[in-house]
Amino acid sequence: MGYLEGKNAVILFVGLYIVVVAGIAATGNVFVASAVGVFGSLFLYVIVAVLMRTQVTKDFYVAGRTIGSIPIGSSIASNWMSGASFVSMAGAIAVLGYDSMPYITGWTLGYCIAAFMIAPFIRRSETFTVPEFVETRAANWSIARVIAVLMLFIVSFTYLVAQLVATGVIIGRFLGLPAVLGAFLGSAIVILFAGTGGWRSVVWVQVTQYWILITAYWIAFLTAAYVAGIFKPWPHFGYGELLTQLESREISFGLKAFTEPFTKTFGGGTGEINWILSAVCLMLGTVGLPHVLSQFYLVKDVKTARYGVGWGLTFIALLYLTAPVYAILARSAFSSAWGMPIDQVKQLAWIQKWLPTGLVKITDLNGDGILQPIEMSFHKDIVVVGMPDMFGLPWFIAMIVAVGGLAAALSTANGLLMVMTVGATRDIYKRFINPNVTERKEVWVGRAMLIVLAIISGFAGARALMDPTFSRYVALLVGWAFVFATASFTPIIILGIFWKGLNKYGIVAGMIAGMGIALPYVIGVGLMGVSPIIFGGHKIGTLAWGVVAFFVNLIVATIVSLATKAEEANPPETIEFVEKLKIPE
Amino acid sequence: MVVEKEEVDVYRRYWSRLKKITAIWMIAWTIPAIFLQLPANALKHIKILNGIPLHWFMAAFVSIILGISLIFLYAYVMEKTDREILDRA
Repeated sequence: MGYLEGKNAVILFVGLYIVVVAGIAATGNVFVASAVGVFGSLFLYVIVAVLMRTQVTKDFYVAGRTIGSIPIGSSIASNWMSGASFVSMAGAIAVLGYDSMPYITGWTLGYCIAAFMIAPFIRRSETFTVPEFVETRAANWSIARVIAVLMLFIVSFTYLVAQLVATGVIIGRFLGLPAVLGAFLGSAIVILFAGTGGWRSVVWVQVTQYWILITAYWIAFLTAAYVAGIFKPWPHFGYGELLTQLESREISFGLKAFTEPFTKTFGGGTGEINWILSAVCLMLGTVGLPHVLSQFYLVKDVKTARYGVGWGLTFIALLYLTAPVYAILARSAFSSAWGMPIDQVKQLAWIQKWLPTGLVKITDLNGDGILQPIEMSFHKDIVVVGMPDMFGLPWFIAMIVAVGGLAAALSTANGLLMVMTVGATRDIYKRFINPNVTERKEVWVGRAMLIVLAIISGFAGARALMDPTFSRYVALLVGWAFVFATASFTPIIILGIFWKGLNKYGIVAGMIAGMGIALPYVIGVGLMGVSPIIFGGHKIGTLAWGVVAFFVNLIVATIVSLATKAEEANPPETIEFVEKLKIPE
Repeated sequence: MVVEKEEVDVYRRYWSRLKKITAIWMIAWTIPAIFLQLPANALKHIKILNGIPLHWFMAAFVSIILGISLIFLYAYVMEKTDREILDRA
């Protein structure tokens, strides 16, 4: 059954869902209505997943390679935007100001590189997985595939754990239920999405989740923007006066203005060179992440891949262009409490609600009874999570935000789990253990792998919620994944597509050199407190260093390939493979 | 034999055009990714739209819109190239 044929079931469910939530709310029990609203949204995804169920391996692995450009765009966007993008990014900007903007440019403009140099060719390769692509390009050298699978597992697993943590936190924040329960619920629910139809289910669940998450983000944003009066004529251009007000308030309290550049550290570095290089590293890293690349396999053809990435970035931008304005709204809301008597601040409705959660802390450091900026501190999640209360918006806005945050965390979790499942089934089981497996059995092996992986990551997510040290390592690894991808996969994939001369010796040498440059720096500077390299008076942070590793990889791979007879060292099949990539079907 | 040779020529022409287009678009990409952001310290004094500093607006809005336009433009130009060179062959 196709997505469109199932449309009636989906519409019927959504109608029923709204009636039930509104009905419960009408009885006055807002908490139950919120809980039903939040959990009810999960059923919608399950319905979509079941409608798209399949037994065919090609559907399971690459959604039959049939997805059009607008659906794949939505799926690229929700696969990409994690729980953290939804819940924490506006908050990070509200805290760091201009110095956090590499998140905005860095996590979007990578898709340009994907469109020009990667996505169409990955699709044309007609391989099923990134490790398979790497192995084929490295003259069918199985070790290359094993290394690629390992990398895929390390990156995707830490990422998935972070998503399950986010699921737990969202359920905890909004419904007051134990966060650990939320993490397990998250892992159980993604088994349902992915187990039914592999990528075919996941991609359509992701499409649904994208539209839910972006609608939720925009509803909360537009309502707050309306209350704050920045529709002049539209919030994304209309916040000039509000920003001027905010900055003069900051300066009058002796702070640096919000948009003042290069006053804080980013990724452990300082100054504009670090700012630019960090952003470029995030862009290069984006296109080396296996779960990002995997989306490019699902499209109809090369042309769809190109337009699909365009829609993908458009849909991502709907959130990423909004987050900076969101940040300014929130910052001007909470800065309005500065200079007020502390007793009076504690009477504010939203402070009263959020003070017990620890997301907001107020301490009268100098004992004068007046709130100074330094005396009020925030967790970065408060911006999106607490915004409906800051602006006194009705209860259902908070529920909509919770539904959206959950959609964001789950949509990324789906994709990651699917990438690992395909990796375990196709790149390990079928490639090394049982190459002659029947199609039906292969899909069932996939489902079994999926359940095992989901349970393991569920436990890891629970552990991260209970153990702050473990959780800190997960957060660090997620950030570093970009450095590692930039240092290892990205240069090899680009070079492999555009230069026939790259051979397996060059591939291995390049990846080892790139990681050899990146890993010690990341561990030294990021973990052990070694002081970073200073360039032009500015500290070079771990993210910015990734760009150096990228070029080292590129240069070493080129030199080693040339030294080992370059093209001549490639067997005819490899040359044929590269030739095929060049010409669309 | 003759047909094959022609085919190879077409492919070669297509690939050299594609490489040229890729190079142009990657150079264009450095504008939003790098060059619009570099002069942040100078742009911060310029206020637009009733008080938004230009360096902030470059990162928060302009560069991403430019990125999106570049991708769609690329897709369009490549679609035309596909038709022009491959379909005619």
